[in-house]
Amino acid sequence: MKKLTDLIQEQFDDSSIIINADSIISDIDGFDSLTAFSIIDSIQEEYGIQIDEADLKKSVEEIFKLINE
Amino acid sequence: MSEYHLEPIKLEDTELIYFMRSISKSKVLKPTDRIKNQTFIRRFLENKEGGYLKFCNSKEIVGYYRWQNNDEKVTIGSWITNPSSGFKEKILFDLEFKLFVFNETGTDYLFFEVERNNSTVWRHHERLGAELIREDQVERHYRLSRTVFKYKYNEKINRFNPRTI
Repeated sequence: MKKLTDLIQEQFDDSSIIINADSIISDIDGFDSLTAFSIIDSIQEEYGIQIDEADLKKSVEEIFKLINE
Repeated sequence: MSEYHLEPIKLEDTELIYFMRSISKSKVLKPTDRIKNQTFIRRFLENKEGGYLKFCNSKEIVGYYRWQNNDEKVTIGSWITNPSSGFKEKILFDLEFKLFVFNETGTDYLFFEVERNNSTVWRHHERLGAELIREDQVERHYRLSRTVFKYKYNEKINRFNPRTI
């Protein structure tokens, strides 16, 4: 889970943003279209799983479960 | 046939370009005003040293982007997108625009700058293979090779297949 949280955090401008298992990705401060692309793209590269744009409205924990299904 | 296409802008587009620039993150855009913006675009179109394009779908303009060919160096910049467009459309725009400029100019490299504090944008370009060649107090200067871009284009276009947008 920490690896995924770190990967998501890296895609944001602000390193002081705190992301945890309950964070809803699209609600995180600074989330925009390029961040969405970066998150989906980096998850694909790291885990080989393609998540959908709608998945960004889920929590980090839910994304983690999706990746590990 | 794709519902998306690139086309040259007209002078009438300056108002929408100005609007999009006005509502973008002010921290990353240089101050501009309506008259300066119109004058710049009019001169740019008259000089014919490049192109100013818009990316459209069947309903709206997704954004604007321009390229310039001078001193045997092709630069791209002023990528601005419609806030109401989806993120896949914006990414597709960037991919198709760069591909168009490589094909149109025959250049092996595209050059561009991104403000240092605009890390979301420069990280995006790095994801598409841009190579950092220089950095100063204000900007990061990039070069994108045709070979690397073509590879990345195919990779990303398959991932973000326009038919799924």
